[in-house]
Amino acid sequence: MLSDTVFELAAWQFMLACLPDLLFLPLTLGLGLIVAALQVLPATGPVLTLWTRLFAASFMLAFAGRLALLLLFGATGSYFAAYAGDAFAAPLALESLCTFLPAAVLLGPLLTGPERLGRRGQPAGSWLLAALLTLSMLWLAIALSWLENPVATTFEAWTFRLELDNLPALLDNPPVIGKFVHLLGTSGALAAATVLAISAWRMPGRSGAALAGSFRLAAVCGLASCLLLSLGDPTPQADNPVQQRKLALLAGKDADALQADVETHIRNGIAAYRQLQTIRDENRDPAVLADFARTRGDLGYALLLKRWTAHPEQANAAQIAEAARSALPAHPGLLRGCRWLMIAAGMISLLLFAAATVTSLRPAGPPAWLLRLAVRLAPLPWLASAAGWFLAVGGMQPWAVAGLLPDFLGVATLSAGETALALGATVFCVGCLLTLAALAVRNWPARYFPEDADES
Amino acid sequence: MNLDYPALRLLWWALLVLAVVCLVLAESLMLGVTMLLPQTGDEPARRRILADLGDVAAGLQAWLPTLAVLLFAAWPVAYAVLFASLQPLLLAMIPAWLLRLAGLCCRNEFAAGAWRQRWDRLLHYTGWLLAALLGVICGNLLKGMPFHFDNDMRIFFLGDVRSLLNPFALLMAATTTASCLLYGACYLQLRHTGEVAAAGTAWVYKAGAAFLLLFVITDLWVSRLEGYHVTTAIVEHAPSNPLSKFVKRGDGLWLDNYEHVPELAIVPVLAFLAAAGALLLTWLQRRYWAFLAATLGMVFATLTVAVSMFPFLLPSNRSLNSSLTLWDASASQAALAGLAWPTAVALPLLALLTRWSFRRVGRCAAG
Repeated sequence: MLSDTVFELAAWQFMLACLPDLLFLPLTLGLGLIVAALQVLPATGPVLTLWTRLFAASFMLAFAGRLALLLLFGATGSYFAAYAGDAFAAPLALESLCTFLPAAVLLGPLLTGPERLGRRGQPAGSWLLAALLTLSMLWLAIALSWLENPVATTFEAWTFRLELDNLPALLDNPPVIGKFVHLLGTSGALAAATVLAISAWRMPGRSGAALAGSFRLAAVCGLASCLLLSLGDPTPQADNPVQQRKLALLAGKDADALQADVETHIRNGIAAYRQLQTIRDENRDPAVLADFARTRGDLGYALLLKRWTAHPEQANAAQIAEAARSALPAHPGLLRGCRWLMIAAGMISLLLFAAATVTSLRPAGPPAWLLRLAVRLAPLPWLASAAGWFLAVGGMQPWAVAGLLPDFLGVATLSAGETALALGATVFCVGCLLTLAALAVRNWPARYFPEDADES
Repeated sequence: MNLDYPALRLLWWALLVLAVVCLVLAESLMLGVTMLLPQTGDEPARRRILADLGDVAAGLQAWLPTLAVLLFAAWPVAYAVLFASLQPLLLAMIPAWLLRLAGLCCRNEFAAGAWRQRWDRLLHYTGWLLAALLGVICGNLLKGMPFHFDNDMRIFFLGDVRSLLNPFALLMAATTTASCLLYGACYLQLRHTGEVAAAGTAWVYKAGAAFLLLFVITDLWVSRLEGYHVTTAIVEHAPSNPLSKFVKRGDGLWLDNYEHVPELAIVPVLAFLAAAGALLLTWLQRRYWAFLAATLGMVFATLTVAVSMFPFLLPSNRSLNSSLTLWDASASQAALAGLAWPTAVALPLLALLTRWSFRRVGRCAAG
């Protein structure tokens, strides 16, 4: 049985480690699209340099986050990695090969400017980079969708893992397209809010008039993204019992009825676990194998019991009831709150972008109060993104893979001290990354668009 | 063309070795150059070196997460065991890598005060640290790590940092550091001119001699080192279950493959000759060929480790039967088959792309 301390620390570490990837990767994509668009529209000089610089910084932050996540993941989440690696890592491997590595290689030549790539090469390079990052989102959407709706895998008794049996089915997972669109919307909104805020901040200055074009572009981009986001993430509508239970709970359905349903699954799972032990003892009797094939879908529910007993096949009724209760999200009120926060933040951002679009089309440009508002409301899409992430992960509690692997099992067998050390290292790394991001945002716009100095 | 499970596993072993070779080349270049930073002269020289490296740094560094994710996708159990066992080392290495990324990107940004000197020192020390620790990891792969599986396939790592820093691993650390220095020095003398190139040449001789000596010592030690051998018949198409075999351990068993296939002995010999060739070509002032020779030396040195360990991926020195071989740590057939061709096409292309990025940058990197 796993200590609760270790699990808590590991859960926090996982959330923190995912944070740079989830915040900076969409931001990078959005900024990449904006930079690519600016290459086509006549924008040059300090404007282009500033946004390209921010794009590069965001890319490096996402890169750093990705690196730390991949290395730390294997360390503290090693059971999850071995158990679910087949299906979870396949899209990520394809992402690295087809999009992330080429994008990283292209970043250097792109940043060194038109003298390296030529007049035609620079915009082509920017668009290629943006296209690669968009594809990257697609692979990420596939991996995340699998976690929430695990198709195309079956549990194999001899390897004790979820093995992939059908790669095309993994890619065709129903929630993928919707999630991809949602991620695109997030990227656009995050980047647009950032560009809008920075433009609004420097526009009142002497040299800030050049930023008017960026302001307009960001406003339009943000409006389009928020409209995309309003389509919502269709994953909860997937044909998966865990997702359906989450939806029912959020809608206010009675927890007891849902709990009874879970208990049935748990009892099925216990039968599967018993058969599994027999098979692992070198029993190849076809009847046992056939039985196992029928019940193994519920094995994950039996694994829930491991929190209370090391032998799920001997669990008593009280433990089963506890496990069933733990299979439902513990705080539906909190989840509902997150959902409202996400929607509210999204709506306010939508209104802001709409106002910015309309006013920036006037000859006089946007009014001063709108500029100040744009700066103050910049964190909203970030808040919405974080709330959405919390909703998705919290709604999946206690599962790491919906219905197949509880998250407390996914944690490696480390002591509390080691996990605390890992958490400390993650906090340090993420803290450094965020500090660098903050420094960049504070210093670069001021450098390229100074308040009082002459335009360089 | 439909490959069966054993063929897929062999193909993926080859792909993994290819990815490791690319990573070794990419990392040693970056580590070697930053390790030599204090020797290369004063500020303008260092700014040029780091500007040159900074342009390609993202692409080079991206090979590390690529290898990690390929390992994750095709050898999930090996990925889990490797990183679970290396966690104490990783806690030192990850901040080092992140700080290097930040340093290479923003060191040239500000000229204020001690900003640049501090970043230089940071890049320098993290370079030495990472080169040494990568060698430690390699040494522990050969020596075996103390992990074992229970019935539910949970991974238990039974050692601590001190067991990872054993004498053989430290020897490998020295060898790896010397090879990084050699590679970095060859790169500096090729890419730059003037005093930077002169410093590079001096270090080619120093690091090259050290590497040749250490390589021979390591080979001699490995011939006495306890190696691993699977004693039960290997069922190549069976599902990946590490616990279904028996493994024996004995002195000198890592040389087993060379006894079965004597032609393989050419690999370590070529590594030695290539490194020696780099020294000779430097003396003859043929810098481009010296760099090529050094590259070949790194490639063959990495292949020596891979060939010696075949078919083992991660031996366990505590619970011998838990050792991971390429036949029982792989992902399912569908996963391997689905990823095999994209990877086999993409990896060489990406290696070429990385090489191309140097050419683009190099055109304007005047002295």
